[in-house]
Amino acid sequence: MRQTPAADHAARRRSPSRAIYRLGPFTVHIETPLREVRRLIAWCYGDAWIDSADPIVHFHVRIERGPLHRRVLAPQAIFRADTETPFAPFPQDHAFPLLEWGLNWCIATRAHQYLMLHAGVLERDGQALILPALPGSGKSTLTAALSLSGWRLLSDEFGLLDLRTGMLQPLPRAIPLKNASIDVIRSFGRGAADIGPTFPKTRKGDVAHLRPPAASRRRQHELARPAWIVFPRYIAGSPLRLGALPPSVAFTRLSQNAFNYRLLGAAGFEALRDLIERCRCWSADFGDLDSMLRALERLPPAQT
Amino acid sequence: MSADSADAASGVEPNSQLWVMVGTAPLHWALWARDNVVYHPETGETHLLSELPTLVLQRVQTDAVSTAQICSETATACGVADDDAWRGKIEAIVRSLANLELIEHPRAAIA
Repeated sequence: MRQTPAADHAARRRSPSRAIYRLGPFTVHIETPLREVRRLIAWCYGDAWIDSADPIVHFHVRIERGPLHRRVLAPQAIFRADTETPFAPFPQDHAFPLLEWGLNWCIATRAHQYLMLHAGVLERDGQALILPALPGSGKSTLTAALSLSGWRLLSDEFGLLDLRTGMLQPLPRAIPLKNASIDVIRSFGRGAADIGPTFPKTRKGDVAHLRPPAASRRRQHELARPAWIVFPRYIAGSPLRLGALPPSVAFTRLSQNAFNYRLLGAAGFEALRDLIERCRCWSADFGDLDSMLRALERLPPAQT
Repeated sequence: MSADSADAASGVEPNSQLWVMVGTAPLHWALWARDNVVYHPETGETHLLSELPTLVLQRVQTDAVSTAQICSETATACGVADDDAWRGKIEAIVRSLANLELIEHPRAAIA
């Protein structure tokens, strides 16, 4: 059946297979035939920014169906970024986590106008808290809990430090909660309705996404001034241990944590040094989320 | 060629041979109360240095200098005797800085 141009346009608006989204400073063109992925994108990020014009796009990504012979028994999804296919196919019912990880890959490998810290970043009263951490340290759980406790979410994954201004660029995206963290945040009260479906047995275990708060998305172009750097480490049953870190230790840890410190050379060094000199730095071992949250609420003001 | 083998090959008294920085690009420093961090553009490496290696490296950065001179000047700066123990300590630091490719003997002297 042929559709008139108007009817075709209306159909695309109802469920467009391709759309352009603004994710922080990046314009992303996302294309997929998978309706469930499109539904989750809209649930997380709202309406597409533009679906007809032709703006400058930073990343063209696609989630495609896998090969025909797999579609009946074990359908697959494939992530493509421009002409690259960085990952092996995922099961099709893991297509949304695949898209999110694919977007992380695009940013981590290309956005070198920023010093990219692997960190959760939040803001309160104009001052930003950076939570750099290794996987398994409780960073995402902590970031999610703070974003549901009055802090503005800048990012769960990327501390994007502007090399020219030393300010942090928001990139509010879905927070991937893993395994036990899903129920921790679900029982946190305020965020249960904003947690999406659980994707069982992904390559990182069970994963469910907490969508970014609408207020954080609305302010995604509002930069934040770095004030605190806290290296969190979740240790089951551990009492809270918050210790000040010497700047040299904080520098070393952050340089090893950043995605592109070595690539940026002297510019990365200068940016990191200036960041450390503007912030108060701590390490924090914690076994209890509530006591950690209370401690972060009481952080002393940043250095002037 | 290591610093030691260069000394041996040149036939010069090791402690009188001069040290210079590797490369001409200036170092980038982050100087804090105790430990310091230096970025070396020539190698792209970042190094964490305590006070005494910082003092030695900053001295070599100023101009070409021998190990004997470094020992003497740093002893004065730190208010200690320039004795065998001190010289052993400084020589170890100089060797470490050379191994990190931060300092070297002047190219002409090695050749």
